[in-house]
Amino acid sequence: MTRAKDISKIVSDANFEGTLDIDGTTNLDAVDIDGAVQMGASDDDVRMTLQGNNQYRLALKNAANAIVYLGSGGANNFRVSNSAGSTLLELTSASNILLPTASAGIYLGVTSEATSNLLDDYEEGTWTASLYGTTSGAGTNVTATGNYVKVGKVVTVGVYLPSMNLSSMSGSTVIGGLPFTSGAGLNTGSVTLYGFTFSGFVTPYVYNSTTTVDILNIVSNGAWEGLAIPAAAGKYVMLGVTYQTA
Amino acid sequence: MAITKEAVIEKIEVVRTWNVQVATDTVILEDNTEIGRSRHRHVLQPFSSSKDADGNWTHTDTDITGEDASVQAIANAVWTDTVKANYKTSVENQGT
Repeated sequence: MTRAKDISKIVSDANFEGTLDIDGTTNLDAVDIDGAVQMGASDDDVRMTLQGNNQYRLALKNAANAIVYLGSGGANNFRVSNSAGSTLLELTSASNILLPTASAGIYLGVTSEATSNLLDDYEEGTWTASLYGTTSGAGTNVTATGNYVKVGKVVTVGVYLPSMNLSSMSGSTVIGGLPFTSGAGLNTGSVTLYGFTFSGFVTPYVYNSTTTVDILNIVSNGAWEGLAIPAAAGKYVMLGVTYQTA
Repeated sequence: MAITKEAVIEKIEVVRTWNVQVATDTVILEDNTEIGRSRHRHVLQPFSSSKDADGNWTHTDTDITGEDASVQAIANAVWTDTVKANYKTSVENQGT
């Protein structure tokens, strides 16, 4: 190996042209710099490369020797990891932020960790709605695929059940199959009906700890009641409900 | 270039003692590289319950034979006789 300068003789200052190669006999060679490092003549387009065969990381250590690593875990992703090497945060190759556990999230509106301010879930997908009468009967076209969006503990679901034949059904009208078990809360929404009979106005309601939507008939100056299911064909339901999960 | 589709049980959760929540992802692969994914959810409870005009309840065991083996295993482990009895009580006490 050819050295550009013999750095063992440097006392206070040196200017190098070309590359500086520190090449010892072990893997423990290190450069100890007690001060700031300036790379390049300006802050424009200054780059430093850390290259390795697997994990290539920059370690940041405080006075108590606590370490945080910035770098890659071997994939083409940027990761922040702790001293044990466990990933704390990852920026994927698709430019999405990925947290290492399903319960991890983002604190919003606070300057310290508070469970009530942790946004830790988002999900969208489909569910299979099934309309039935609480007493008996099986119908046709009574199932349909709906959509849902879950943000934190709140789920909003929607479904359209067209051209149902409910001729053998009886009891109150219920739609089952919600994608998440409900929790306590104001779990209601709106429902649009075609071919149903009611005396007040109709609203859906999700009771606590269930996966069903009860369709309620709200009677003026009276108690609410389950909406009677019409035992006939040609029935339509459009449902939208927002509820909290358990 | 081969396009394939597979269903993956992505998550099984037990909520409030007897609710088994299942998230199933449909994964679209092109030459074994994922190019698309969508999620479908359903929740299993130990019984399908109904009440007749006289107010008598009927609880029919939920048929889980069509579920994935991993889902069946969890449901069967969770739905003990005590849990089933508690579920019936909960449903029958929750009226309109």
